[in-house]
Amino acid sequence: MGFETRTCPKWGVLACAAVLAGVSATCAGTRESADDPWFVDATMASGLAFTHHNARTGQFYYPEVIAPGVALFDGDGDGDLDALLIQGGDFGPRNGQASPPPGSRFYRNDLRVRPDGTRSVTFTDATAASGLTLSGYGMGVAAGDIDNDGCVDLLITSLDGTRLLRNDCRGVFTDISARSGLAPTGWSVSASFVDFDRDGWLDLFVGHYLTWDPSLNTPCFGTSGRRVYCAPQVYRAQQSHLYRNEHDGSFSDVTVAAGLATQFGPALGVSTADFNGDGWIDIYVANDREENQLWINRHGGTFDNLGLLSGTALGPFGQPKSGMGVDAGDIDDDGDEDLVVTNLTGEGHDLYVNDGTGTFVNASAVAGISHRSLPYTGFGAGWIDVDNDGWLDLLTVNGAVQIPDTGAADGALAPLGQAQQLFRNLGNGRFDEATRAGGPALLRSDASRGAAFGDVDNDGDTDVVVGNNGGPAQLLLNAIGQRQHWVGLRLRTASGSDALGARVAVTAADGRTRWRRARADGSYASANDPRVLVGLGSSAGPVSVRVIWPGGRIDEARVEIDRYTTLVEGRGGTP
Amino acid sequence: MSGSRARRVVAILAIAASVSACRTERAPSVPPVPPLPHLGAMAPPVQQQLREQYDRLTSAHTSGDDDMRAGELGRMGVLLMAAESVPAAEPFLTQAMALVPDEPRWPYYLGHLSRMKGDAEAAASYFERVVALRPDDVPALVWLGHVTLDQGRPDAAAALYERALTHQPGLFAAVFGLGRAALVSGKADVAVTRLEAASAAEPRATAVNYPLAMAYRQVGRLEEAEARLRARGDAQPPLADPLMRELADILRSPVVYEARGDRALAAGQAAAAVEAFRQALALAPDRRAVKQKLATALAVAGDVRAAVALYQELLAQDPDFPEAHYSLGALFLGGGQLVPAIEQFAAAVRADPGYLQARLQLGHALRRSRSFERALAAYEGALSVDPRFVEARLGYAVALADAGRYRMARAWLTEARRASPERLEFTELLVRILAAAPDASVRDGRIAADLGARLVRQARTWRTLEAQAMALAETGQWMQAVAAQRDAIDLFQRASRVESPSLADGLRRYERRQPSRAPWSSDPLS
Repeated sequence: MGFETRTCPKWGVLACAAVLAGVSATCAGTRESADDPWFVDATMASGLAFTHHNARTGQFYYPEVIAPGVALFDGDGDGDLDALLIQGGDFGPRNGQASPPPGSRFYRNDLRVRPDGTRSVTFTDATAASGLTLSGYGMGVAAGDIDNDGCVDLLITSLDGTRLLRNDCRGVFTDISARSGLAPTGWSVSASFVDFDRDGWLDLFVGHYLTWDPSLNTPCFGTSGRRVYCAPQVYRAQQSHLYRNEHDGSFSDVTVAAGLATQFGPALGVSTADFNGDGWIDIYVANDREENQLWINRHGGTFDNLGLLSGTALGPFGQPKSGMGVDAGDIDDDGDEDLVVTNLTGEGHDLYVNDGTGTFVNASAVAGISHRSLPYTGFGAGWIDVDNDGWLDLLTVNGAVQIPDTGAADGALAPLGQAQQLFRNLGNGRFDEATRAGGPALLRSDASRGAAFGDVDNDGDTDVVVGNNGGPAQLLLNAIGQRQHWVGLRLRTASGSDALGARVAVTAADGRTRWRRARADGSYASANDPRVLVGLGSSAGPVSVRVIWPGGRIDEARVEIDRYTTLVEGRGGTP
Repeated sequence: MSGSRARRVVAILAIAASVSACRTERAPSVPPVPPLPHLGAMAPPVQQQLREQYDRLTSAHTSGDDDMRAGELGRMGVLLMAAESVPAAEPFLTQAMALVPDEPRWPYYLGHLSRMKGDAEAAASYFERVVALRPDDVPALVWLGHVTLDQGRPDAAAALYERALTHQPGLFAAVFGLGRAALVSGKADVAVTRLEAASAAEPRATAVNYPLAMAYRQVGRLEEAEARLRARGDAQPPLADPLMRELADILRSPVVYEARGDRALAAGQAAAAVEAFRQALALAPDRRAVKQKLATALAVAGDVRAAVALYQELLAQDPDFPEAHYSLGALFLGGGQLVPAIEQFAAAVRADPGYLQARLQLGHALRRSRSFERALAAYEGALSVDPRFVEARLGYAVALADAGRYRMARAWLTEARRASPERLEFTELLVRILAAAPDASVRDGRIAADLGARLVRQARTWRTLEAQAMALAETGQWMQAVAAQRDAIDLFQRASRVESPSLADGLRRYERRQPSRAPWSSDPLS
């Protein structure tokens, strides 16, 4: 069979081009998505200038492809979200190489809101003044107020232990790890501050990954004999830890007493929420190529792992998946917490839909998420209402972990970049992929890992800070959410801390009730804005709010829309 | 007609006029051969194989024979797929498919290549093409069913599995697929029926158990769900798929041969494993891990002398090779030579303190040699490395009991049951101790009988029935104890075709109304 080609005379080509240009100009006014991306890359404009160093040198050291996480939290208490970007490190002496990479960076948000309502986000590197000079090979970060002084403290996870940093409320942090009682060694990735015993003090779950150091690094090969990163099962999983807050800046390791010691896996993602509706916070752990765990709180300081029976331990047909990022949220408006877990290319992400009792059905396929996520390796994930229509959408940040064989001469250090993915909730149990509508900022090819979700410019919609492995961090500002009505809530305990785990039912003027949760955990190795943002769509007018505080107390209030209101346990609300 | 619409019509007409003014020429009929990707990172034998095939391809390219060209292009694509060079493989297969459009092999491989890329829609499109060419192509129908199910279209997937069954009735992959499709579509009762049928047709297909458990759970049959969850696994009869078999076997790679050897060894095909490991070593003579596996395969195949010689050769080159020490230890243990087995396991642990299996087998060997304190230390060492290691917990419990420390064994097993309720072995050992420990202060017949009854409901085996019989005897229910012991004997004989003197002794004891005072007569973990 031959192939036909057509050659055109020059005038034909020019005529084609001229006509097409005319058609384009004519149609410009009718094209929408290309001109109105849902997210705008504001990295450069904001001054966020951070590049992650992964120390990839061709040795295929396993940790090279795992980090970094990022955090959005109000470090200086001025009402806007600052950012902490976690740095990697080296695996040995630099042997005469250039100076070591700059460490993790703390960026203070100098948000400016002009009288006309326009906003500018400016991030200023305040690392030196903050005391956040972190050494070692960093992985991720968790945020929470450990001493109930109203200020956000930090836990840094790393290849070699954890660091606990206390905030003096002015954005200056002191390393109190030595007396914290936390395990000084071990490879930790994701962590969560969670009040599991309802005593009003944040306890801590730290997810540990694998036992690894450079001397243990094992050469692994693909079928062609090409060197590849090993599967996690080549190394031994490390035990994760549950710590109880002793109210004096220290924690006690209650892993054994709580029943968590004999079941663990290589933990990468952690999300805490009340999954069975009994008022006590449970812990979900996503493990890499092993069963995930759903630790159901039994109220007396103990937990039972119901991962298997709940239907959340494995893929739809019983296959263990890679389990990196995880987030919980009410995606079907039935008042309970559903789960998403991101997985490796070829596996598909898992959507576990809760029936309210802690029993889940894997709905990934019918929801339209599973097959669309097959080409991607997902890490950070967040249930966020991108367009404030009242339905939680899903944004995942992606990046490969295995070197693709591009066939290029420098294949050994080929990039791991992938685009992100945005799934828009259609409100009927199905999702539509809306990545293109998200804009060029989502279509860039990056090896993304952590993602922190929060309202960076305080305009009522959710923005994202993305940590990219071996590359620059990104700030993606939401450009469409503020076009619809919304209500913002800061839920605080009587001591002034963010009430992590508090659940809130927001009933709009149209009668629809949406459930949300104050949370800083979830995603991947990252810390999120603990404020609750609820999209109201076109529904105007005040909303009624019912808050179930972590200790079980219930308060009700009416709040104005299109603004943030602080609700204090037992005391009502203030804007 | 509005102004903007009129402008569009004019534009379209102008484009059409412009295009028709172009001349149509017949271009050369042979497109260029796609380039070979960079091979430098691949093992030398694989590089050579790919280059040889590329040479054959370029020779065939000028032959004028489309079938020959397509064949060599396709083989090049398959080799690159096997070498995990997915982007490079695609143009070869695409060109082969374009040359010979009615050849189903190339779209079939492209379907799988698309799956490897995670492109379910492209995969479906290619498999549909195969099925259009060959409506009775069962593997294509099954894979099309799978990717259709992945796309959240369970009814369409079910129709494809049904089509496969018309060509190959009883095909497990299709029956299983129907069950999974029903589960995805939310028809739990239908899923139960279909998955039960799949399980009944292939009782060893443990892959059925998890989805069946989920279906049971949705219809409220929780006990059955839990039983299936305990029995979950990934075993299922392979789909007869010659093209994918060729893909798995085509590459002359030491990694591929090693993997083939691993599969053969796992399937009990020792001779095939020996052959595969030898092929791997022929291509990569310095791979000591492959040598160690070859030695293991030789031992399993019965050539113990050759296996020992190879282990000793490995240890002469590297005295700290933990796997070689372990394998030698296993050989000695299998031959009943406890002292040298203990030496080898201990050496393996010294070489690699994190070697859990070595620690476990060291514990077992020490326990069997009645060095109970050292055995306990070995099991504790394993648990300090990995607290999840259930087998070490079991070994510790048995060592405690064998050492006469029944009270501690009872406490240990009680805690182990709480931590790992799905592991029925803990319950079985506890029942035995509660029923038959020599220490009366440790025995509790009532609890033993209760646990024993529940145990047998969950898993009816000769071991659980024997334990239940002990418990019934301890509570004076002699007729029931005799019945349970007879059932245990029956199951044992059906499974092993020999008689068990210890089970017979137990029956005689209960017939004489005498309880058991030995929780087990032989190693309960063997």
